[in-house]
Amino acid sequence: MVTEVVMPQLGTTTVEGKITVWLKQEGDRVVKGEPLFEIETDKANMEVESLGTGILRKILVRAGDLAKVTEPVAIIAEGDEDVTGLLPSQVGTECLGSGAPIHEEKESGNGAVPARRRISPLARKIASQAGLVPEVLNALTGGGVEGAINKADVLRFLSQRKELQASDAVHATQIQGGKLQVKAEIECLPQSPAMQSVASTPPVRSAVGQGVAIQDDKVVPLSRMRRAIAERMTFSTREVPQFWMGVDVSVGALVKLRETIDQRLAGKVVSFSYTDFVIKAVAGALRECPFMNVSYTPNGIAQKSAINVGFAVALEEGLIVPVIRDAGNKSLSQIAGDRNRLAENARKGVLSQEDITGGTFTVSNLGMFKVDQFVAILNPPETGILSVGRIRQSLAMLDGQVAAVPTMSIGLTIDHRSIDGAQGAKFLEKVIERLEEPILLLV
Amino acid sequence: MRELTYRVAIREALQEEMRRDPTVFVLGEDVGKFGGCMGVTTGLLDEFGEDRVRDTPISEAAIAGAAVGAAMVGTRPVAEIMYMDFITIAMDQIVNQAAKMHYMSGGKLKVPMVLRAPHGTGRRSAAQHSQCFEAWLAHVPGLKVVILADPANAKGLLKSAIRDDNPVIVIEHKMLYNDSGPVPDGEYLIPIGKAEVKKSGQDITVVATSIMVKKSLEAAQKLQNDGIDVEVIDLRSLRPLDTDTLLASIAKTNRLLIVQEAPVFGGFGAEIAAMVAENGLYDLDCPIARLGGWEAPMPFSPSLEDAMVPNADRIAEKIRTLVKM
Repeated sequence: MVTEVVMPQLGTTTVEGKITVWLKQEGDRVVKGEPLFEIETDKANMEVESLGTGILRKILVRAGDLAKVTEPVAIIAEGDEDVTGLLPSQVGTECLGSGAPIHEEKESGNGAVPARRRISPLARKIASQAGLVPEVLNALTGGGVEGAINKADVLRFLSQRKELQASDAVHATQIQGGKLQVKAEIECLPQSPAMQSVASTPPVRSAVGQGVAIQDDKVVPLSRMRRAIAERMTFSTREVPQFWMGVDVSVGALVKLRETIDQRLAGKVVSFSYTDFVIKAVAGALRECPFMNVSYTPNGIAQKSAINVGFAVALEEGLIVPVIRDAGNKSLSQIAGDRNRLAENARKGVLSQEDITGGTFTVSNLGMFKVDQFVAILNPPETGILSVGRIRQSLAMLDGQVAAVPTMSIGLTIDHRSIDGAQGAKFLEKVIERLEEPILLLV
Repeated sequence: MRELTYRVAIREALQEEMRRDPTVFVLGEDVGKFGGCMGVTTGLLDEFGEDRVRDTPISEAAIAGAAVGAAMVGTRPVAEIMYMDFITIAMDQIVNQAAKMHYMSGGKLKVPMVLRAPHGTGRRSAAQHSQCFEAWLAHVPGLKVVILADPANAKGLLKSAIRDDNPVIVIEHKMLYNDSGPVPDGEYLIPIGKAEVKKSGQDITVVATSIMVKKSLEAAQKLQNDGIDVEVIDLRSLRPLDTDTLLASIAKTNRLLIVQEAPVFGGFGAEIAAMVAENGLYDLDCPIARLGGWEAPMPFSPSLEDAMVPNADRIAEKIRTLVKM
């Protein structure tokens, strides 16, 4: 049976995906359910399984290239099946497997070939002189018409890479100074053009330390998740000017409310964590402060209509941020239900693409650890992230008396390109209000 | 420096060369008593007499043929074709005779003639009196083709053309005759085959000839205020072509716009574009662009005629899109 392999829909808003690697080559036998290729999104990389069994007769979209959602990327068929009808005429008719006689002329395939990335000849020359591999060049963000990559884009990338290498060198020196001598050659391959940034990791070769190699040291290859995190965080800190503010919130009422719910409704409803209350508070505050529910783009500030709040879940191999969709219109119970399900799925590794895309704000709670307060790094393209520390007893003046008050420190990091400190403070105020008087979360 | 009109600068070149070399003479329709249809040869008859300033019948083939023959027997004729459009009638003499004789005679003959002709739009002269045929002529090995874009270049280039031992087509523009510009005093020559950077710039190279040099400079002026720094090059000579100056400029600016008055299709701009694509592709940061006349016969209607060919606004607009690419 002939199977046309298409670019899957990765999320509601996704229009295209990039194939990072083909796990099978043309001519390979493929069994239904086997991993066929990897794609990359702005959140993570994922494997796509084959929906058919047969021989991978033709790869239509090469590794490194983008394809529109539902666009054919490969053809799987038995060796004797005629697949020429599925080949876009531009691809040419050479195709592995004997098949029926190949006809030279076929109807035009309506441009199923992905558009070639426009790179100016000069940009190519500069890139090649600088030793950039084509994958890196292709992954750059083009500033020209229709995203064409021009001289300026390559030069900008090269200068950023230079800075990065300089900082690596400093780092290496520091390690050496601290008696830890490492010999390692790390090569990071570029992975994520979808991040819309020249920051997609260049092939930085940094020979860390020229000194004595210690046998036991080894380099653990980056997992796909580790790589995605590294790229996103590097991008965020490099590209986004971040502004932080923190505050202590008095959460006596919140603690009491949660205890009451726990006692009275134990077993009847999902379990509530402080994260749920914070997400609910954030969602309410976002509704009152739409200026926080935006994304910065070079063309303007994109106002998000839905309030989708992500929350960071720590996993053994890293970190993932599932998204509670439409949190602005959900009750506390619905939020808690979503969070429980998503966190569970995150730990099992069965989150769908839908579950991890489309966030407009993130909550990161380290309150379960002994962390009072921390500065979170923004999760682009979101404009805000709220960090939540543990609840601790602190001394405060209550009615002229010194009293122990349950206190939670929260911090807000904002994208200073989109909004300013005063707006951040206003938003924070709305969050505080809800956490200090949690009754507001219930109405 | 003194200022001369383009017309007088050309006349001065003729006068100086005729005084310097008795074998130089002019011929053409109405070049004598009438002083030339464009007034270029006014006064030459009085100074040099009927032998050296010859009115001819209305036959472009005869004018060109007489010039070829006279050149082969040792004179240096400067023939005038009243409108470049009529050069079609003289093409056999130019292409099959003038351009070939040196080669076919094994170097025994030379054809040191000049053929002057005004081209271009602007005088409401309609479909048969407005065309630009430089590409046809530059296509022929054995001919040299120069285009005069300003008074100083007009004088220096024409003098070089008269002294050249090969047939040289000298193209003038009918709307430039009244333009004034600085012209150096005394004797000077401008070498054939050397382009001139009229304005130095960093952002884009605009290559033009004839009146389009003037329009391109106007466009560059407009764009200066927008921070777009345009380099304008007057090719001056189509054959031989100064590829070095062009490629050096493109290596600097990384962008190229070719402006011509003739229709784009098959025009000389195509030759420039091909040459740059062959030799300078890796210096280009955006596609090569051409701006030229529309693909149609020239209308008589002034408003339609003006719309047919590039002007400073259209050039500036095109440059704006190119520098953003």
